[in-house]
Amino acid sequence: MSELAPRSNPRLANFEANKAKKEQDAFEAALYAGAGETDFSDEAHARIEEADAYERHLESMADGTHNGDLNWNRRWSETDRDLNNMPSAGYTAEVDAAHAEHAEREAEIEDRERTIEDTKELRYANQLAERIAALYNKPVGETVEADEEDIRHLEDRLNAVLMKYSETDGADPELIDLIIDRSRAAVDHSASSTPEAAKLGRAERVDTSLGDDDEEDDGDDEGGRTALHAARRVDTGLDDDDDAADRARLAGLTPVSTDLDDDEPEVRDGEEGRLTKDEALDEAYDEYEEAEGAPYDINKGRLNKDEALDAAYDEYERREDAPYDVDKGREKDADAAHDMALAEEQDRTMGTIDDVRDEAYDENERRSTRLSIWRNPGAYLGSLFTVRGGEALEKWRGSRRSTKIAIGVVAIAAAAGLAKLGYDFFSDPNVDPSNTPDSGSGIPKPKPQDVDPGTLPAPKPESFSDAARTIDNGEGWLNQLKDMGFTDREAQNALEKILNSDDPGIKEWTYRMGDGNPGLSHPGTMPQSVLESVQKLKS
Amino acid sequence: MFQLDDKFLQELGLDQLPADQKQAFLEHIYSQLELRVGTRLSEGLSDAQLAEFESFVNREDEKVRAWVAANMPDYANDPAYAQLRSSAPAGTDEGVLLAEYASLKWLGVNRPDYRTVVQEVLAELKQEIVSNRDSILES
Repeated sequence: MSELAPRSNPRLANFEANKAKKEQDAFEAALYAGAGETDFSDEAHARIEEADAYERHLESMADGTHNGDLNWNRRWSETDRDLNNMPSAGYTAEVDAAHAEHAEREAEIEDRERTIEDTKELRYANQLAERIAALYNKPVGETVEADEEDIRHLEDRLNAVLMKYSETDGADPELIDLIIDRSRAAVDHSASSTPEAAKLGRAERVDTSLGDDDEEDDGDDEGGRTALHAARRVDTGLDDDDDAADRARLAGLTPVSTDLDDDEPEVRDGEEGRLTKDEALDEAYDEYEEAEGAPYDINKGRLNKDEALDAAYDEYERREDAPYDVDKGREKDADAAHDMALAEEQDRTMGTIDDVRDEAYDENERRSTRLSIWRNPGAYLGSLFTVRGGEALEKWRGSRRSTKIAIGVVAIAAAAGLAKLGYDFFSDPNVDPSNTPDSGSGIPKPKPQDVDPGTLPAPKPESFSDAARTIDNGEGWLNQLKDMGFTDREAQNALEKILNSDDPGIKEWTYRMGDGNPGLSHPGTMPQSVLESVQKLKS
Repeated sequence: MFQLDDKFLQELGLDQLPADQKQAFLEHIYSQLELRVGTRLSEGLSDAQLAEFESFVNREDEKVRAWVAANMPDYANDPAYAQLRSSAPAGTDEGVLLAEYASLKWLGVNRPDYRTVVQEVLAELKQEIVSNRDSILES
């Protein structure tokens, strides 16, 4: 038997080396081609330089010394992977923390939305805000005068409902602000800075490029392109980026369903959907108002309002569940996109927010003034003129019932205010009261002793500067106290008193800030009665 | 007359109302007073009369001036007008002032019994409140 002599096979012995060389040659051939070997042109020279730089870059990556523009790649390979080429503990922790933060914020948002959904005033206010926003966001060409009237009407309702909510225990001012924000107006996509807004703008442009709308998309048409308009088309923009929904949620917006339907008009014209809901809501408020205006019955008086509101909400929900389901998803999509656009518009539309808030505060002031006439009839005469002039009457425009109320306002002002001043405003030499018509009640002519002399004369109201009366957006109590003439020491002393005050007027204007100090709860005109209460804290 | 305040509630036996409900209750009373007084005063008035008052509310300047010219031609020398003007904030538009003046004067012309009506309605309200005091306090 012969034994095979061992022999070397260079192909076997050098297998790996040859393989590496072959790969290197192929790499270089691809990288350099014939440059520097067969091709000596300028282009070949440039190619060599470029390829050499690339090779050096790869080498630096391999030895860990690279600090160039591909550093993210090195970071992944060295920091984010462990020795087993798995994501490192640090990287995993970072991702987990991000997920946790995301989940926490989502929970906050869901909690907030749940609170709105579970609180009847907020739920109704939210619906009103959406309707207001939809009207605000109508393209200019589609807006009619009736829309403006509707907006005013809905805003009045919104103010009333939010006012009611604000008077409940545990009312959250942030939710009020959120809902007011949601009622805000048009979107200028050209000013948008975040991806969501850019996406809306892109969706709009894509849609425009399809040519189904003759309006020019110059991005600055001040309402010609609006949030709802964009929302109807946002499917194009959102569908191509799944992150959009997450970002919307992170931005505090309604979760977005991606199941969009291209049948856009139904979002708006869903006769069986939105109109039915609106009708139900309108009826809700009508019932609410009717209960409030019904013949007064103490047993029912206060209960009636709540009962009517409860019944109305039930009715609303019943209708919502019936013909409305088919459009729910689509509408939510539109509304969510709409909300995203609104969030982007916060800075630009602050004027609009302030207008809405101011109206609420004007209403507050009016209500406060109504009560103050009994304390200070002279001031009430002036209150007839308030900021806009004739506000007391302005409020009651529009209907015969309103006219009756306006007559009541004037009569009470005259009876309580002017009579207290000891001045018979109505003693008209041309009129003989004994011959004038009355209500047929046989009411005797009022006698001078009907006026309580003990209340005369009315105290002269303390004078405050315009700066003291006017609370600007973001103004604080310290500045307000200085506007009222408090010294630094007096102001510091007064802050604590303000925070702990039981005075309803002061409480209405105050909230506790994060640092424990009192903050001014809203801008507007501070009523005389509140200013006087605050002034007393100076001592 | 009366003061719509804590003393008023005390008079009605409602001073035990929680503090946070007092203000709301007073406001409710006032709203009812406005509505009832206005409704009562509107009884017996024609649509034309009510439309006249509405024109003041709506600040229809032409109608306001026409009414004042017809009914109070010497309004500029009327101490009541001077009183009203002095009570108005500085810079108040004359049209606004005149509309308010007209609305007050209109009431005096058309319903000179307004004070009695206010008192009567208020008395009715108070009576209703007193008779339902227990229910109110329990609610």
